[in-house]
Amino acid sequence: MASQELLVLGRVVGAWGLRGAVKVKSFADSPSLVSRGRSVILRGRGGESEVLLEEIRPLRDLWVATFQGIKSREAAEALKGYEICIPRASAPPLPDASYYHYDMLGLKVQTETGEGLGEIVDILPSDAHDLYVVRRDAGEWLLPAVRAFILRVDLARQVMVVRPIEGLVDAETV
Amino acid sequence: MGRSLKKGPYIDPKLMRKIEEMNRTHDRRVIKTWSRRSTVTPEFVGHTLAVHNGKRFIPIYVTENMVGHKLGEFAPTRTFRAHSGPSAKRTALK
Repeated sequence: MASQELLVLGRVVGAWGLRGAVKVKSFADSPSLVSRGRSVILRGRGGESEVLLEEIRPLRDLWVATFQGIKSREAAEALKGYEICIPRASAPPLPDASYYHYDMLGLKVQTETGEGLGEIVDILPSDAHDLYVVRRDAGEWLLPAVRAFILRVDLARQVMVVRPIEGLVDAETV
Repeated sequence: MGRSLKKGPYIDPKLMRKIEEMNRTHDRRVIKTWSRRSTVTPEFVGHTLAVHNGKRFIPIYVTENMVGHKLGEFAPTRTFRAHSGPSAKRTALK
């Protein structure tokens, strides 16, 4: 299968039951991104392969999924460690000011005047708001995901325009 | 047992003095604090506080929803690093 931009929904952590179902550690907010009968891409040691999703449902903090053609516990165990992906192009659009981690990682952060402040390398969840870890030559700093600082996110140009206040970029946050 | 209402919420006096000064001058800059036990009051709203989590300062932009909570609640001391790759997780600007 040709390599393409893939959005990772979760990782298979083990078999579930005796009929080929697998337990999936989810990286997405809900299993609604994929539905029964939809094809997904399994990516792992053996490369990438497209399979049809027969069923997916939440189970405590995991998901349980079954795929077409995988009907035994042995076959399900062989998938341990595989990532379940969908093409980025087929992911549903998000509401205003919401973004997939996939799109945010790697964005260049700059001021209104074009001064480069680094690149987003990680996203930390927080009770107050998410925090973007921005890496630049002088080290890393944390940018709160709030509209007060983030003026614009331009995914086409891979740029985030921010208006930092005094002490935000220079703070020894990391 | 909760804190007596008679005393009012606890706020570190130095931190409160800085906030009041910034409110008076309409200044906006990050205030570093180690005072995780301070309660967020309406005077804090709109300010950015870098709250120490024992290792580093976590910048917190204070909103109305945080009033009544302690600053330490928003700067976790134990960070669970989940999958940080190009996942389908969402992030939203608040």
